This record gives sequence, structure tokens and C-alpha cells, in this order.
Amino acid sequence: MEEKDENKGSRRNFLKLGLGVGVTSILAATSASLLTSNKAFAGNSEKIKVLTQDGKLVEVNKADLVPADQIVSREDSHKGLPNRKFAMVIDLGKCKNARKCIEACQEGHQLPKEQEWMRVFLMQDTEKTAPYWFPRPCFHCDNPLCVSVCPVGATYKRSDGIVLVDNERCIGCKFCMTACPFSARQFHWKEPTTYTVPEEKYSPETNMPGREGTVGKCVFCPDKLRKGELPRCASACPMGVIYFGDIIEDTVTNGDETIRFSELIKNRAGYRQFEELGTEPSVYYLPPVDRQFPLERGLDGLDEQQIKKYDNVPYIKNLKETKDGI
Amino acid sequence: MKSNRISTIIVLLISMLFVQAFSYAQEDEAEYDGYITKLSLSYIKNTNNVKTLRCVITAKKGEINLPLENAELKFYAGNEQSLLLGVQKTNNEGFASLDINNELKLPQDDSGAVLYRVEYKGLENSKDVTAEVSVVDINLELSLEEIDSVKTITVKGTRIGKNGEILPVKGQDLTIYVKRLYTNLKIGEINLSEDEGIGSTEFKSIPGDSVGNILIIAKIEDNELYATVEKSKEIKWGSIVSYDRTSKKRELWTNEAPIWMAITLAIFLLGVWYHLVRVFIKMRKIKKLGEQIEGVA
Amino acid sequence: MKIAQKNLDNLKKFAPFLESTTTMGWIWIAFLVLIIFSGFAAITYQISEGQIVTGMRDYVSWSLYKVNFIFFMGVGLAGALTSSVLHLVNPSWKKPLVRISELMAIFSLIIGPVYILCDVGRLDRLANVFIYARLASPITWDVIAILMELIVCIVFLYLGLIHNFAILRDYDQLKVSKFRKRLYRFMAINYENTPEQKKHITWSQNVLAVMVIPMGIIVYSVIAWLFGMTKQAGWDSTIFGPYFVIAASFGGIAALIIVLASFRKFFRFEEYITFKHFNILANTLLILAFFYGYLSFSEYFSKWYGFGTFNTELINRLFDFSGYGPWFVYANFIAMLAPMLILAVPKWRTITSITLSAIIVVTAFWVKCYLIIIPTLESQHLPIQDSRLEWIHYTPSLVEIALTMAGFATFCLFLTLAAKFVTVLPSSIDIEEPVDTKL
Repeated sequence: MEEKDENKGSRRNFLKLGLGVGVTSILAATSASLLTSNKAFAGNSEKIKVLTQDGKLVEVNKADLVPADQIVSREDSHKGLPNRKFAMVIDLGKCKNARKCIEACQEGHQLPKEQEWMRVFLMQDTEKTAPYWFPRPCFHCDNPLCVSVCPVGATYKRSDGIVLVDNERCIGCKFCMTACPFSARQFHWKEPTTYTVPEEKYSPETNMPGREGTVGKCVFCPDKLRKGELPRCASACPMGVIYFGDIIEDTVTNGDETIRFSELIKNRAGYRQFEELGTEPSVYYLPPVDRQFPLERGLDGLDEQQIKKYDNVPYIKNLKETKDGI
Repeated sequence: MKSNRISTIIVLLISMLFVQAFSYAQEDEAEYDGYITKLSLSYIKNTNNVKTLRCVITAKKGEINLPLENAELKFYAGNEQSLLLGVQKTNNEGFASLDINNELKLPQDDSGAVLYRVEYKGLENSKDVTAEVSVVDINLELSLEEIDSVKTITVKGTRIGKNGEILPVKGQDLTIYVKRLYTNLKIGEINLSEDEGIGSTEFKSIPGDSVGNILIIAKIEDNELYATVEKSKEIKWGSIVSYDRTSKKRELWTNEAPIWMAITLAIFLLGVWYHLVRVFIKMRKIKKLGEQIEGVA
Repeated sequence: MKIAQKNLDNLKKFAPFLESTTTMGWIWIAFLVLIIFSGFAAITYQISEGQIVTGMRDYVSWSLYKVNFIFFMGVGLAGALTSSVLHLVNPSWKKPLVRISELMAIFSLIIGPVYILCDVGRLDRLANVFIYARLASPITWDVIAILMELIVCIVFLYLGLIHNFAILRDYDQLKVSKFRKRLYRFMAINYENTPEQKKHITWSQNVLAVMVIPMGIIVYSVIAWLFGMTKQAGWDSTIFGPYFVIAASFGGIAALIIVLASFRKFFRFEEYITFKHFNILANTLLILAFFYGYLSFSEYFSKWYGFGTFNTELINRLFDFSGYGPWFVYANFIAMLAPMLILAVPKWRTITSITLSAIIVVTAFWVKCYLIIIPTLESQHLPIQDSRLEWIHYTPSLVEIALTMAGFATFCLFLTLAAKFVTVLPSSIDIEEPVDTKL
């Protein structure tokens, strides 16, 4: 009798997962960090060493670890993870515009389809230079002009380098949008309809739910960082383009590969976009050399609307002209 | 003729859609028809010599890959006379793990390997699945020493033979990591020698925590013979990182504006209001003077 | 009683404006109210639907509202500067200009900031500007400076009007409602034109007149720095403060000429506002045209010569004759040359030609404001790669156009109503030779 009930239970779960969750990556689930605990561990009294958020090594009972799922309040979201300084390294040689980072970000932050916090540009400076795919999150500048010009302190920079927006204080003057040289900020022009997160669960760390008349942008996923996981874009990228990490411990990782940040930048001639503007971005780029994919691969699977975006790029112009010529 | 064929195909497709929709509306059992159940088993021996069996069970159908929650998994050791190690239920990620009691005498084969097996007795409509892994239990000894002022990481691999004798693990490659926030950073590789099963590598400077502590991990990963075995040790070899981030740089994004701005604003406001207040006083005087005149008149 | 006696002749002439309104007057007012009402409808619609009903999108996130804001603030600056300079220099012919320019200044300074309110996404959180004020933000500087400027200008205007209120209070034959009579009495604060009272007023006016000049320049420079403090191509300019001040004085003086011409025509003030006044303003316009042309040239010349990547993109956009090109020529060349050509030849100088060139300059100033904001936002540092046309190119929506028109209608309505409430021309009615006072 009991067993039957349990079977039913498992069946129902199966069903629920089947219809509701859709595709869940098992790999991601098993490699879930040490900071998340699972009830399956309850019977084990395993001791493990973990790195606390402030960078100290401590030994704890695995069973004592609590999931870091709670909503971080507006006040706490100002603090930042202690003794951390986050940075992202984007390897332009590997990007093929698979758009998985964009999709993961949109799904994770419940953004409407047309709103892309992470954007992939097709960059080509002149006709004679090479085109390349250029993913652009918010640069979380160390000298953020958007924060400088905010009249009410609704956007702020934390000790860990992350720049966030507090939707509950923002007055919607849009000054930060015109001040950002990287066009990273977006406005909620109308009441958004895509959010399922209730209003009382609002946290600047996720910036969900978005509100009409306020500004949103890439947040570097501090909710994930708190759990010891990588930002959504970094873990979603199938090419391992996006490395993320703490530059105080001089390490970045794309999930598969973990490298010393300073060596990566030194060996691959990493640079920051528009260094001359002096905003000191926290996002570094590795030049698009030793491409792993031909550029056209990035156009595969794009619909007409998405290709239309790149119409002004000389490369695409040429492509269309030669097509028309034939 | 051609259009006829196309319309037939369309009708077929549409009817298939309907059938599909119909089948989704049926009872529970039908819904996981066609799902292939997958079970994976891995073995990890951690630094405290706790041996753990880890399982993930999923149901796959085409692109869809679902974790099976609350599935009952039975763990066994040995081939012929198998020993039940324990039973665990999977969590919502289809994951279950079991720590092996070190006091148990596990059945070994001739080469000293233990065969671990996990079994899932399916529900009515899902198949039984079994996964196996064969592991030779080894120990890693990690020693961190400064030899001639060179920080050296030395690892020795040993295993216990059939008669209780200690044998070296020969020629095995292992990786040295440092624990970082998200993942482990690889800092070197060691090949255990063919005679004694010992290998060493030099430690190069790397940032530690605020007192310089780092956790060094020696690890054999997903090896055919030994599965995953790790040994770690904490030591003050890391460079001490300074977390004092109070910068002396010019900054405008902080909450406090530069002092000169506040002073300028104060002068501006004081100047304006000083004169405005004086003007208001004059206006009151004008009113009082007028009252006097009217009074006289 | 005594004050009114002195000015009886003039009062008789001006009383009809205060006492009644002609049919044409009513139609004019109704027309303006209608436009303003459409503006109210537009802003209500925008508040209920969100700013999606405007033409603004993520790249061009500032638009007509900011254009109108800097336009009206510019007119306000010119009006305030004119009236305070006239007050301090005190030329014999100043009388017809003083009050009109003051009124123009105040109404512009009131209408301008309303556009900022239209532009703000969360009006309900406006108080945050004061609660969480950040001193490092140019918007905070703006809010403080504009509020101060408005207060000082209103007090300055009021000081000049006290005498007028006293006369109207004492003029028994004035046929207006009792309420208005009581209002005049209240506003006149027992002014009886005694030497001592007069001394107090003159002292106050002098102090405020001296304050208005630097404050006006500060306010408009701070507005310029809303743009100048960013790194956008075309905004990141060191001369933006002075450039804005000169451009605003240029456009604002032209606006003053138009307002004067309108009063002259519709209120039949030919007798008071004469060619002499227009001639003097035309000379001012001419001088400012030189300054404006000089600053425009140096601003764009250096951008053009340097071939900077971002500036070049903007310059190409501005010089593109299928796009902004004609407007750029109009705002920068025609606006500068028109007053020079028309006004430099003495024969061509008539009130009509002066007014005509003023109309060119005012419209050019508005276009200039537009060209400063929108093409820059359409030339971002990173390429704008979007498939939605309205995201790339800004087109004003009906809501924005309605609100723009409502702003101008409000400006006209305020001036019309002001002329119904006080005598807009203080000519010899209530201004007498000032008493010398030390500041």
C-alpha cells in the first residue's frame, strides 16, 4: 500500500517535470556547487572544506549547509559579496553567435524576447578589417558613468564590482541610459507582462520583476554567484566563450576550463572595449584570433528579423550583393 | 496529381497532430511512453577516505532529458554473492548518493577490484536499469614541504594487496589543483614513479585568502581502474591578498560627492537665500510702512 | 488713491484690457485651451500606457520633451537676462521691454521643467530626487539651480509689479470683480509710493537683478552639462556651457522680438513699442548671431577636422542631405546669416523684417535643440544593431507632438492672461525715475 503511494508520487513528479520544467541539464545539476545541499545527503555526516564568500577556507558538515536560495533584500543587495572583485573574460575567437547566452539570460531573468541584456553584435570596423561576433553584457565599469549621473542613487556599484539597479527607487529619468557609452541599459517602456515573480520577492540582484518606467540591465547574476554558480550566460555558452571569476584570486572559469586570469590576459593579449573612454570595464575580451568557427556559422539558424539587424555591417552588405548578383 | 499528394500529406500530418494531442490527454502511464531511462554511476573517494557512490537517473526522449525524482535505487557490491550496501531515493535532480561503510569487507576479484552495482526497479511502464563500476581502492598521501626553499608538492599512491601488504600505485598520472570560488584551478601534474609510486611538483605563487591559506588538492579523475580519488591539504603557501579596496582615486560614483561640490553648492544656496531673505524683510517693512500711512490717513 | 491720480490718463487707456475681453480674444483663448486640453489628454494617455506611446526607445531615450525643455529654459534665460540688464543699465527706452521680458522669462521657466516631468518614467517617485539626492549628479544641480532661479525671477517680477498693483488697487473706476480688487489690494502690500518704500523696492530690485545674471548663466550651463558630462559623440564638448548660453540668448532675444511684435499688433501698442525698440533688439540679435555662428563653427569644425571615429559618424549624420542635412544648414547657417543679411542693410530694416528674421532664429533654435539631442543618441559608440526601425530612427509620436504644442499654447495663454491681469506695459504708468541706492 505504502509502496504504491510512493510510486504514485514518483509518477506525479515525473509528470510534473515532464510538462512544466522542460529541458533540464543533468550535468549542471550534478556539478552543482558544494554550497547547495540536497536532502539526499541527509544521511551522510561528510565533512567538507568550503571556501566562504569572504574567501576563507572552512571545514563544515556537509549536511549543515543550507541552500542559498533566499531572496536578497534591497539593503543587502547593496553590500556585495565580501572580498570579491568579479570580472568576465570573453573569448571572441570562440563565439559563433549561438545566442545561448542571450536565451539563458532571458529565461533566467524572465525578459521578453525583444529585450536582450546580453547582446551579440556583429562587429566590423571597416570594410577591410575582419568581422567578428561580439557578445556584450553590462561592463560593470569600475568608473561607472551611469552611477555617477544617477540623481537618486537607484543604480549603484558594490564592493564586488557589480553595478545594480534598484527598480523600487529608480525615477526613470533615463540619464543613465544616455550616459552609458555601451548602450547596455534598457527601459521598461510599458508595463512588462513576462514576469511571474511576485512583487514582494523583488531583489535588485535579479531585477525581477521589472517595472514600467524603470531601467534594467545585465546584473552579472549575483543570485547565482551567491550559490557558487557561474552567471547564466557563462554556464549556457556551448562554446565556453565566457569566462567568469574573481580577480582577487586571479582565477576565471567557463565551467570546463579554469585558468589564471592574469596569464590568460597576458598570453592572449586581452583588452577592454573602448579603454579610451576611461570607464574601466570589468569585462575583458580576447581578440578574435584562431577562430574555431567560420563567421557565417553565426548566421545559421537566425530568422530574417535577426539577420536584418546586421544589415549595415559591410560583410553582410557584400554577402547580400553577391547573392543578388547571382 | 502533385498537389493531391501534398494535400494527402498535410491531412496525414494534421491527423498525426490530433493523435498526439489525444495521447497526451490519456492516463499517467501513457505519458512516459517512449522515454528511455538512463542510469549513471560514479565512485568518488574523498580526502577523508569516505567512499561515495553517486547516481543520476534520467528519462530521455529525443531532446528531452528529465531527471527522475524519488526513484528508489539499490546499491550492491560484488559480482556473484552481491552485498546490499544500501537503498537511497533520488532528489528532484534525479540524484542519489551513498557513503560506503569502510568497516564492511567488500568482495574483491583477482585484480583487487570491487564491482559496484546500482539497480532501479522501474514502474509499470519503465524498464529496469542497472549500472556498474569496477574500482580498485587506492590511497593517496599528500605532503607539502619546502625542500631547499622550493615549495614542493609530493604525492604517494598506495593500495592494499590481497594479503594485506602495501603496494605502490605505479605510473599513474594525477592532477594538482587549488580550490577557487567556483571550480578548482589546475596548477600542475604529477606522474607517480614506476618503482615507488611517488611523484612531486613545484608550487608556484598564487593568491590565497586574507592570511595566505590555500587548499591544495591532488586528484585522480574518472580513471578506469581507480575512478575518482582525491586528497587535499590546507597550507599557508598562497600569497596574502589585500582586501583593502579603499582607493585614493578620484571617484564620482560613490555616495559622497567631492567636498568642493558641497562647498560650492553651500555658497550658492547661502548667497541666494541670504539676499532673498533680506528682500522678504524689506517687503515686510514696505507693508508695515504702508500700514502706518494708512493709519495716519 | 494718490498714486492712481498721477497716472489717470494712462490708466484710462489700459483699463479696457483689464476689464473686458473681445470676441476675438475669447476665440484665441478658447483655441489655446483646446490645444492645452489635447496636451492633457496626451499626458494622461502616456501615464496610463507608459512611455511606449512616445517615439522614444532604448537608444533615443531622450527626445522632444528634452528638446522643449532646453528650448523653453533658453527663452527663460534670455528673458531674465534682458530684464535684469535693462534694470541695471536703466536706459530711457527700457520701459516697454522690462515687464514683457520678465513675464516671458517666468512663463518659460515654469513650462520648461514640466517637460522634464513628462519625460520621467516614475512620476510617483519624484520625491526621491530630494530624499535620496546625489550631489554628484547633474540632475541634482539642475533641480536646485532651476528652483532657485524660478524663485528669484518670480520675486524680481513681483517687486516690479507692486507699484502696478497699488495703482490698480487705488483706481476706483476700474470695472473688475470684487475678488480681483481684493487680490490687487493683497498683492500691493500697502504700497503707497513713499520715498522710504520706494527705496526698499529699488534696493531689492537691484540686488535681484544682479543675482539673476549669474544665476541664469549657471542654470543654463548646468542644463548644457546634462549632455556635456556624458561621453556621447557631440555632447562630450568643453564649450557646451557657453555654447548653450549664447545659443539660448540668441534664440531667446528672437523670441522676445516676436512676443513684442505680437503685443504691438494685437494689443495696438504701436504707440509704446516703437521701431527704436526693435532696432535695439535687432542689434543685439546681430551681435549674438556672430557669437552663435562663431561657437557653432568652432564646435563642428574641430569635430569635422579631427576625423574622430565617433564624431565622424555624427558629422556624417548631420551632413546627410537625405536626413538631418537641411535642418543642420537651417539651424546653423541660415539662422546665423538671416539676421546678418536682413539687418545689416539699413534700408531693409523694418519692424516686419526684424520680426521675420526673429521667427527664423527662434525656429532655428528649436531645431538646434533637436539636432543636439536626437542625432547624437542615434550615433552610439557601439553600432545600433536592431531590426526594429522605430528603435533605430526616432520619429516623434502624436503624444509628444500634442504636448509640444500644448507647451507653446500654454506660453501664449499665460502671456494673454497676464495682459488681462496687470498692465504689461509699465510705460510711464508706474515706473518713475529710480532713487539712487547703494546695494
